[in-house]
This record gives sequence, C-alpha cells and structure tokens, in this order.
Amino acid sequence: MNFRILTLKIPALLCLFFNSATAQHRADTGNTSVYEPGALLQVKAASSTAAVSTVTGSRLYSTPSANITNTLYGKLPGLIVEQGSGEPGYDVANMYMRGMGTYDNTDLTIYVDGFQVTQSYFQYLSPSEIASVSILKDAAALATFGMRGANGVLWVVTKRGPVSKPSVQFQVRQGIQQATHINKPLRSYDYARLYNQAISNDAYSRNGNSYVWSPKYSNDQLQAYKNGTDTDVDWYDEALKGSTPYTDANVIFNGGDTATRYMLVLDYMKNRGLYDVASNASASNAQIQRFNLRANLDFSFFKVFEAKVDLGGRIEDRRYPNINGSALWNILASYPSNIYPVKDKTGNWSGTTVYPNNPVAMLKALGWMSTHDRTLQANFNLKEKLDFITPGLYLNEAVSFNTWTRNTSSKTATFARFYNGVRTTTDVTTDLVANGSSPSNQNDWKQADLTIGYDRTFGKHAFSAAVNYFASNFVEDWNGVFNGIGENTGNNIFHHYTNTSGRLHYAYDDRYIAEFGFSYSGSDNYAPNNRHGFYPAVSAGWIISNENFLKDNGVASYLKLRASVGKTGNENSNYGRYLYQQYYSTNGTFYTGNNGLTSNPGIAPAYVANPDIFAEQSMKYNVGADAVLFHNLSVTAEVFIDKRSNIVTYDSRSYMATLGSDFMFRNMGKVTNKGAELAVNYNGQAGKIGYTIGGMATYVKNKVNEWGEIAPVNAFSKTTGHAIGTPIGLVADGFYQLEDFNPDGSLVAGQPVPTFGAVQPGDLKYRDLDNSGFIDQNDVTKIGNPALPSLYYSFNAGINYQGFDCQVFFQGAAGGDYNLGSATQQVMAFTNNSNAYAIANGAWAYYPDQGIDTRKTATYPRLTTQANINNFRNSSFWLKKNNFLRIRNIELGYSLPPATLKRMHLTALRIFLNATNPVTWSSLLRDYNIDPETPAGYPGLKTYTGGMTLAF
Amino acid sequence: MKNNIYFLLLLSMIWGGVSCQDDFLQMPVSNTTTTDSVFSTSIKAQNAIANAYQKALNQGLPYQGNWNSLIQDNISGALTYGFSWTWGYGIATSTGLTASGNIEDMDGFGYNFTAIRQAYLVKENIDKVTDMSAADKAVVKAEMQALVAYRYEQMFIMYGGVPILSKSLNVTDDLSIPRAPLKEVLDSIIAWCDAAIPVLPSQWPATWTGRMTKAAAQAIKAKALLYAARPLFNTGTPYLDFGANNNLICLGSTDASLWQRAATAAEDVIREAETNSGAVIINTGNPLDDYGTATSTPSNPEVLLAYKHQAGGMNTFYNMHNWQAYGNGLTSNYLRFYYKADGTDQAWPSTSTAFSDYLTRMQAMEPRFKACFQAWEINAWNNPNDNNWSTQKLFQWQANYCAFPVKFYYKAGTRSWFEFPIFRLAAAYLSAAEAYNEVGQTTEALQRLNVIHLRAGLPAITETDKDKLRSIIQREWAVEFFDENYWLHDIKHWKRSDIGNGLIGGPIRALHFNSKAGGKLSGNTDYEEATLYQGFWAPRQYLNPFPQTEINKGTLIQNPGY
Repeated sequence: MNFRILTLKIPALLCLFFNSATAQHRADTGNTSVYEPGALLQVKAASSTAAVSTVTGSRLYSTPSANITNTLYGKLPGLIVEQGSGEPGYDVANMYMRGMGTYDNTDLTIYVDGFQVTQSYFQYLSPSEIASVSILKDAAALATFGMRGANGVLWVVTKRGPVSKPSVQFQVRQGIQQATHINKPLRSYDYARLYNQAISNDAYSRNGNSYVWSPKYSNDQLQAYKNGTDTDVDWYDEALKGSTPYTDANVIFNGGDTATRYMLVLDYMKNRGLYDVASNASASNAQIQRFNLRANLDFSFFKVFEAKVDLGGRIEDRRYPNINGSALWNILASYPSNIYPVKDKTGNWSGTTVYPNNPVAMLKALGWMSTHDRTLQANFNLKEKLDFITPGLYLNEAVSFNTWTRNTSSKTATFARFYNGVRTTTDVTTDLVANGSSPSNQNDWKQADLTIGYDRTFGKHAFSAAVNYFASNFVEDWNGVFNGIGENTGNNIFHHYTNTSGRLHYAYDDRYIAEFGFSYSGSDNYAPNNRHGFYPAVSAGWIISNENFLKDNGVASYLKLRASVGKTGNENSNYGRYLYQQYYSTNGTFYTGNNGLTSNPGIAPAYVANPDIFAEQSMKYNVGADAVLFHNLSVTAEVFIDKRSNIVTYDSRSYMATLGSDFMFRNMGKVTNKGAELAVNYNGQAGKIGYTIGGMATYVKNKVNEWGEIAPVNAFSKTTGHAIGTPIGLVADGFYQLEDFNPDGSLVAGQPVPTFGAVQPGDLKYRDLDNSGFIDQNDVTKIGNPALPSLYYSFNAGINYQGFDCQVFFQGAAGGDYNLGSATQQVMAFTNNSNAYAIANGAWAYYPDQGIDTRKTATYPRLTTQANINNFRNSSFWLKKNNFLRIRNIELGYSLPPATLKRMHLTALRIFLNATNPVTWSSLLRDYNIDPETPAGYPGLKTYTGGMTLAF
Repeated sequence: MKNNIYFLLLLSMIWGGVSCQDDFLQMPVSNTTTTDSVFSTSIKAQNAIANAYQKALNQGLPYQGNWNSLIQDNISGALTYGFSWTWGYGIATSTGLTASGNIEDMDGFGYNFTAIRQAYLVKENIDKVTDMSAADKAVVKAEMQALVAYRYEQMFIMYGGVPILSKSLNVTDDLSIPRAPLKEVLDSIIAWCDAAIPVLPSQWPATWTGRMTKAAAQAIKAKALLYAARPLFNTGTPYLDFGANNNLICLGSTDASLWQRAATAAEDVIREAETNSGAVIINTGNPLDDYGTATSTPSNPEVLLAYKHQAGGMNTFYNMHNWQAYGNGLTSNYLRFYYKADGTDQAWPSTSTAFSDYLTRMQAMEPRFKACFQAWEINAWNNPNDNNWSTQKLFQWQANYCAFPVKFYYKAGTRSWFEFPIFRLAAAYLSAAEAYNEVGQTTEALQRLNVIHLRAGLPAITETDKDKLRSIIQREWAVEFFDENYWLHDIKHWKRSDIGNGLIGGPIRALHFNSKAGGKLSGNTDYEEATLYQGFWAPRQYLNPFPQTEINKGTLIQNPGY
C-alpha cells in the first residue's frame, strides 16, 4: 500500500518513532493502514466511505500512563477525552464520541479484536499489546452495530505475528509522577485572620444589624501563628510526598511463517500513589500492579482454513490505605492548619470530635485494603475460504469468552484520638485484624459470531459483502450499571443481545464507491413483541483524484469526497432495563400493635410500566473529505449531524398528578448534535532533517429539543433548547452594600427580596428577572455553558536528525465552563468547619477600625462560618470559563544508527526521555489556582520517565 | 464434499440461531415483585396495605426527614419559623405560600393522589388474594375507602375543591380531571365514610391496633363537617372573589344546619369511641400526667388514629435532641393562649425584667403548658428527674424564644420516636362544643368544653355569651392541640380577624433574654417581650396554591391570588 494513504489515515508523526523501524513496527502499522478498521469487511482505507480515525499502539506508548484511556487525549479526531481522577487503579478518563448526543447514557461501545468488552477490560490493556485504536463515528462505520452503535464504537485491534524470523523487543521505562496541581489552603495565620472576619460577620444581626469586630483569635494568637510558635500544619505536606515512582516494562516475541505466526506480549506496570506512607505489612500507599500476558496465534492449514487464537489475560493487584480515596482528599482539603499537630503531646495521633480524621493517621493507622482482579479474554476464530464453490466466498465462525473476577482482602485497625493529652473520641487503638480474601464481584461475557462473506473483483467492479449473526450473553453480579435505577436488580442478571448485520461495498473503477449496511438487533430489555430494531445505512464516496481530469495535477495526489446517512440505536439507558414491566418496590413502613409494635413493610407500584419502551434512536449524517496535497500534507475534514430521538425520558409533563403514581418512562427525548472535525498533518524533509507538523480539532454543539420539561413559570428559565448540562441559575449582580439596608436589617424599599435566608451587607445580590419583587427559583436562567468543551483540539510537532528525534504534543479545550461551586472545599470558606483558600482573601468586609474595607474591591461574598444558601447557590457569580491548553507530552530520543546496530547484532536500540503533562495554561489555574481537569479530589498526574527500546 | 457438508451445517446453525432468538431474549428471572405476584397471598397483600396506611396517614408530617422540612406550627405563628433553609422560613417571613416552591405540605399536592391510588389499588385487587376470607376482604376495602376519605378531608381543608377520584387511574385513562366543587368533595367524603363505617371493626386484635376503626372513620367525617360549617367555606362570599369558580372555594351560602350536622357527627364519634372502641378522655385527676399520657404514650386509649411511625426522620423535627428541632421556639403570640394553673391569664413584661421573674411566671403556668414545653433553666416538666431531658442536655445555643417544645415525649426517657396523634377523642369534644355554641346550645357546648378544660386541672368555664364563648373555645383548641396540626387551618377557617396581625402575619414576638442577646444555659440576667420578626400574611393564603407545574398542564384552576 502506498505511503500516502498511511499518512492520510494516521494524522500524526508515527513515522518518526523508532525511525529505524523494526519488522515489528512495520507489521503493526501495516495492519491498520491497508484496511480501514471496522466490522465485517476489510475495505481498503482509500476506498472507504466511513468516518474512522485511528491511532497506533506505539503512539499511545509514548504517553507513560497506567490507564490506556489517559493516553488518548487529542489523539483521535472526534474523540473527546476528559481526565478523571489520578488515583492509581481508578484513573479512567471519560470518553465522548463527537461530544454528547444524548442526555441518557453516552458510553462508547468498546470492541477488542472483534468482540465487545467492558470498559474495565479496555482500560488496563497495555499499549504494547495494541496494534491500533480506532473510533468509528458515522453511520457507515456504525451500520453493523445496530442497537449498540449510537454512541460510537472504539475499535481496538491487538498485535498479530508477522511473517518474519523470530524477533524480540524489550522496552522498559522508569520515572516519577507528581500531581499536576494542588490548590493548597491558607495557613494558620491567614485562616485565623479571615476566621475573625467570618465570625464577626455572623454576629451582624445580634449586633443590631451592624458589623462589630468580635474576633475569635486574639492578636497574640495571630502573631503566634505568624511566628510559627503555634500549630501550623500543612496537611498536604504531611500526608503526601513530592513524587512517586512509576515503572513499566514489556517483552514482545513474534515471528512466523505463512502457516503459523505468533505474537507474545508480556507487560508489567506499577503505578504508586502520592501518599507519604510505606507499603508494608501494616500500611500501604495506593498502588496498582498490572501483569498482562497476550498470546495471539494465527494458523493457516489445508488451504481452506485460517484460524486465530487470541488469549489476552491480566492480573491487577491494587492496594490502598484503608480509607476511601475521595474521602481522604476531602479531609486534606477541608482540615485547617491550626486544628492540631499531627501527633498529640502524648505521642498519640491527634484528633477531635469536630476533626476526628487526622489525615496522616488515616493513612498510617487504619491498615490497608487490597483487591486482586483476574481477567481473561479468549477468542477463537476460524475462517473457511470457499473459493472452490465460487471464488471469493468464505465463512467465518468465532467465539469469545471474557471473564473477570475480583477478590478483596484487607488488614484493618482503628486508632484513638487525642487532643492536649486527653482522649477525645470513643475510638481506641486496636491491633490489625486480617480479613481474608473473599470474592466481591465478577462478570462473564460470552459471544458468538457467524459470518458468510463474498469478496471479488470483476474488471472495474469490486464487490465485498458479508452477512453476520452475533449473539451475546453478559452476566454480572451487580447490576448497577446496566440496570440503572430500574427495579430488576439482583445477582447474576444476564443481558442477552442478538444482531444480524450485513455490509455490501461496491467500487467502480476506484472512482465511485457505494456501500449499504444494516443491522437487525434484538435486546432482552424490551417487551416480547418489541425486542427488535432495524438499522440501515447508506454511504457513497468519490475519489476525484482518480478522475482523468485530475490525474496529473500537481496539487492533490489524493482527493476523496464521501457522505453517509443511517440509523443506529442505543439500548443502554441510565434508567435501567425492563421498563416495560410493572414493578412493585418496597416503600415505607407502617406500625401496628400496642406494645412491641409490629412493623409492616410497605410495597407499592414503582413507575408506570411502558409496554412500548424501546431503544434510543440516532440518525447520523456525515460529509467528509480526505486529501493528500503537495504529496506531504494530508487533510481530513468532516461535518456531521447526529439527530437523536426516542431518548428514554421520565415523562413528568404528560400526566396530571391525579394519576397518583410515579410516571412513565417514554421514548420522547430529542437531541440534535452538530459539529465538525479537521485533521491536518504535514511530513517534510529538509536535508537530513525530517520533520512533521500536525493538528486536529473537534467542534461540537448539541441542543436538547425535547426532554419532557414542564414549562417553567418564566420562559427564560427553560432548559429545553439549550445544550445538555447547561447551567441554570440566578444572575449575580454584585454585593449588597451597607446602604442597601434599613437600620432594622431589612432591605431598603424597592429592592427585590431574596428568599434564601436573611441577607446582610456583603452577601451576593441577584437579579429579579421576572420583577416579582422576590428573588427566588423563578428567576433562574441560563448562566453559562456546560462543562463539556465545545472545542477540543491538539497539535504537535516533531523533528529527527541523525538518529535524534524530538516530539511535542499539545492538547487543549475551550468553550466549557466550570462551576466553582462544585469545588466546595476550596470555595466555600469555613462552611461546615472547613478551610479557607486564597479565594477568600477577596471577601467583602467592612471593619474600618481594623483597617478592613473591601467594599469596593471585593471579589468574594462576605465570609461566614455558617451554611449560606443565598451565596453558595448556582449563580453566574461562580461560573468561570474553563479554557486550557496542556503540553501533554514531550519526548526526546536517540536511536543507534543501523551500522552500529549491526555490529551489536541488534535491529533497534533507542533511548528516550519523556515528560507528560509538564505545562498547563489555564484561566482557572491562573485566577483560582484550580486545575482545569481535576479541580478537586485526587489530582491528575505529571510523569517524567526515561527508557529504552531494544530489539533483536 | 466434506466442506460442503460443513457449509450446510453452518447455514443450519445460523438458521437455528435466528429462530431461537425469541427464547434467547427472554427477560431473566429476578427477585422483584410484579403486579402478578403482589396480590397473590395475604402476606404479600399485607405489604401493600401497610403502604396504603403509611402513605395516607403521613399527610402534613415531615416523615421524610428532609433537611428543609417544616412542622406545621412553624408557619402558624405558634413556633418560630425554624431555620432559614427550611420551607417554613419563606412562608413565614417573605413570600408566603407559593405555587412553585414554598409549600405547606412538603410532599406536594401530587402525593395526595399517590396515597389515594395505593389505597384504591389495594381495594380493587384484594379480591385476587387467595387465602383471605370474604369478610376480611370487605374490611380491607372499607379501610382503604376510609383512607381515601381521610386524604380528601385533608385536601378539602387545604385546597378547597379538588379532582375527585373514585378508582385508581392508569395512563390510558383520561387524567384531565378538573377540580370538583367544594360541595361535591364534602359529599364524597361523607358518602365514603358512611359506606365504610358499618363494615369497619370497632377494635382490632392487639397486633393490628392502629388500623382504621369505626370511630376513626367517624372522626374523618366529623372533621370534614366541622370545617365545612366554619366561616371560610360556609358562605356565599368567598375570601377572594373567584367569579364563576366561587364554588371551588366556598359552599355558596351560609347554612346553619351544617353546624348541627357537625355537632351530630362529633357526638357520633364520642358515642362509638366510648361505647365500643374502649376509648376515653384520660382523667385520673392528675392533669400533667393525664394530658401527657393522652398526647404522648403510644397506643393510649384517647387516640383514635395515629401515624404509627417509629423509623425515619419525622421525630427529629419534634424532638429537641436533634438539630432539626433546634429552630423551633415558642412565640409569645401563642404563649398568651395558655392559662395559669389557676385559670387566669399570665402577663409577660415588655420591659427588661429580672430573670427570676421569668422563672416564677413559668412555674405558675397550667399543666398542659408544662407537658408541652421546656423553659429556660428549668428541666423539662414532662420528664421529671430524667437527665436526658435536662436543660443541660437540651440547650443548644443562645436564642430568644419563650420556651422549647417537648410535646409528645411525656416520660419518654430515651425513646426518640413517637406516634403522631391524628385523631384524639378530645377533638370530638371540642368540635361538639364549637358546633353547639354556634347553634345556640350553650349548655351542651359548655358541658363538652369542660370535659377537656377540667381534665387540664383548670376551673370550669361558665361563659354563656356566644361570641365570648366562641373565643374561649378557640383558645381551648390552641392550648389543647398545640403541634397537632390543627391551629394553622383552624385560624384560617375561622377567618380570625387578627390572622394578619398577631397570628400568622404582623409582629411575631417572643421573650428576649440578656439584653436581647439570647437565653443561656445558666446565668440569665433579664428578660422582656419584644418583636422577633415580621410574619407574612396575604388573604390568598386562606387556601393553598396548586403547584405551578400542574397548573401548566392545563386542567386545574389555580386558587385565587397565586
């Protein structure tokens, strides 16, 4: 296959990695470039009519990360990846294909080697076992996925053995990881200084509606904090270390001949937490160790048969301090510096009834817990080439067994809390208690596949067609995910699904291409007469560059236009399965009797059953162009519309309350999602310097057309018509000032009265949009954009010279808003005995005798030690733009020249240094010291590694 | 050849696969209940019955334990509004009741029909149960109809005319049922009660005590008739002109015979309760103990129907051991209704006075006050010598309240739950007294009134002037039924002229302590009566608003003024 197509479909710099490419690398790039990844047919990428983007495993390898989802940022046009937590073992990123098409479940369907897998199976695959990851985006690409295609399909192909002499590749890298950013609270002095304001503010009404300085901390006390002579603990410093080690290593053996080929991958990864605690018999840092083993075998025999055996197995060992990660980060964020020293003067752990959970003690004195996960995907595939019946005819049968189990064990203890030498709680220090390993969860997925296909070219007419029957049986222990809030929960609930699908691809003279695809899907989610749906798609392509009139132009060596339209579905609803069944749920208890009352548990109908409930439907329209210009510049551009309908929605609008029941779930929701994508890549050569520049951008914008909203009192409060997740709240209008109040504390006449509790000077003022005289929930309106960015982009550059190579990869997002109110601990100072952060320095305050007067300059409402539902509610005040740009990756490498390698009997040797997430530009970071992707909780990670690749 | 056979085999497998799809896609068996199984046995049906009771009887109570719940007296002016984050705050101080937010009944209007539907579902499906006698089934049906009647009686009082349902509805039914005229709602309630009363038992076996009895159903009817007879509804001129829809909020004319019917209905309750149900007005000559027992002790013989609910968060709003209850303080607007133990009125100073005077005056209050409140620096009278109810245990923070409610916990010790009395026999006596006075039967009125008044250890009432006796009876309602969900609707239905100035609206006053800084656990120095906040009142609030979301669906007519 020609090199142009390769660069076209892989908009990146893969040719730069390992530029002394081994047979191994040729094999895996070759697999993905010749044929468009996708189901059922092998269609040459050049004559594909589908919207698919692909990245190779070796490119993903360049981002050292425990979780494969964290290597995908900005790599695939059309795939928006949002960083989740950085906690080892629970660090999966959120993925959205072309933004959000629905307000129901947006989970991508993930396939590995032709069979569906869970997200947890995918997330700890190693890049070393992956040949390519593709995202299938339009109706043409998704035609055969029917009722599971609407949210896009992530199509993963693992490496297969090449026809070559045996080769071995060894890769290892090691380095450190650090938090991308931690917003630390104010220290004791500033905390106490601001606390004095807060507590004085709270005495406003008691002091005759005036601000009278009534501090809690005396000046001496403040001075002691300032001098460091009184308690001033940086809990983050005490509980965390500056950096933590990261290691991964893998060995790949492969080779084979035309009859037998093999690919064996062994991979190990260890990712440790940021906690400053040793992993030993009585305590543990957070950590995950992953052991992957893959054996992909190919056999050809009797001229007719081709067989594949794929075994992808894995062990995940996780270990944690015996405290939930998010709870610990909450404590770190909310415990003030001055509450107590880490250890009491008696040498015991400090702790009080208000602050019982000394974070250092939580790490060191509670013991540890661990999980042990075993995963295996075993696929068997047999193909019979029936050319003796008619040339090009074949049959294919395949089965997949996928199983996962988790065992849990722990050693736990408790500890006594002391303050000033006195025990403060009823907790006592106990010895470690070992809790033996016990099974805690499992799932099991069996799938079978039968295909009959036909592939033949008659002169200028090229046909490729196949029909497939697929059956899937997924069984899980806990049904939280697939059953959602549905009533039919319990252990060992199976989920059955069948799909009959087909594709017919026709190309005339390598110029005109047409394709038809369909699915006839059936799911056990629905009522017996209503279990199947038919999902057709048509698409067409025109390779203009193969037309005579463009044959020899100097600009476009390749130019293709394509368009597709078709239907897919989504049977995976957050509202659960079996919505057609009338369930009764336990509800309330009534007691009878005189003495020794009898409790009578109640049971009542749940939501009204809907016999017609069915899968959400998606109509996808896509127009795209692929081009190679000036021989080195590849461009892919697409525009698309995804019109969802029949979204499962709780219909609170259609029925009067007189029905007297929870209402019905109905297929009534409608969302339109539109957008565009652009991917550009340029490979150049200037003398001995090779270079590449590339970029991609995805723009998406959705709109809820219908989701059963009851018309609000005021039209401006409507949520229908906005994007999914559009924040609705009050419009902030500065702060109340002293002159807004009468001496009795009431508002000066003529001002709208807020209804969220008494207000005083320095509180947030809101607009009374409906002029009712009251500020209430009827005044809410759209106050910003959803959190999901509308523009998601990346760009990169790389050069190589004389064996040296260097790449930089940037990724950014724009158009999303962040609600500061969701970083509760960092933003709502002092509330619930919490901490104060730098943002509180801007608080409104007026104590002229103390030299405090921020009435004109305030950037934050007046401080309070109490819950304040007037100030801390959804309003435009807390909504901030969240645009950011990160350097995701910088890599510097050196590869030994071929001559040297030959002397050393090697085929490749490369050493490299790599930095992941080293630099971030973000308005949220600049203005509020908050990380744009992990604003609270366990932060995302920066990684610095060095490593080596060796092949022989 | 071999391959051909193989090919055919595969084709037949595909065919087989497709044809057995229907079996393959069957729903898995699980451990949940569907319509088919819920009414199969009486054990299972019992659960549906329990749910019908729980749903129907929780009306107006903060049983869900929501953080922003209110108790009714937070918005009647009897207690302070609670906390600024509760529903009560907005209703009591700024917006009043609103169609889209601040509501009196925290479950919302729609929940009435959830309760009604559950009762009807049981009534309609109980015949499917295979192991229950026909007589028992008839009783269950009567119970369910009485529960429906109770819910309607409460809606009648709060909303006026509402849609009438005589069966459970399905989504395929026409759900656009308009509000029925007030008269029709009243007639339905009475008809349902009259149908249920002959079938219901007078008493239940011990384990089933708490279910609907004849006397309880009669009490529903009596309460509906009492409110129908009162001035808010018993008129041709409603509180706000509603034009052609006046019949949704008043009965169309003043009908004195309604008072007669109310008196008869109340007498029916008393007769049935005392003759057949084993109910009595507890009177052993020890007023604190008698009243305390009648309002607090679970399953005591004065209670005809209670919300028997031990679990959940309801008690936290009534029990001063929980933060949810800390915001409830007695106002002096309500304190003035209580008599002194000698039957005279207590005076409270409006200028700064030594705290010892507060202690003296508090100690002089009548037993019913002492059974309901705990005063500053005085351990709760209703749990004598019980450290769990000492001021030490109950004090939270400095505040300007007259006293704190501890009702329903007479000699409760560590019991945190209580049974909210929905119908107490005493209510039938006061209903009869009120109705007799209105129809001029003063002797009967005084007789009925004094049964309650004397039980409280107070000297008998002898007033014979109709208007004066009316206000004495109203005062008796306030004192006898504090916190039992009467007062808020009583003052509306009486159309009390002071409702906007001293009851719900106007200055809400309380005793202030220590130069108004608030009462302390100990070391209080002085006290005085002063305004705490301004209460909100608007005439539209005589009846509750329907939720805006329901109005927007197009069938219901909103009550005037909202």
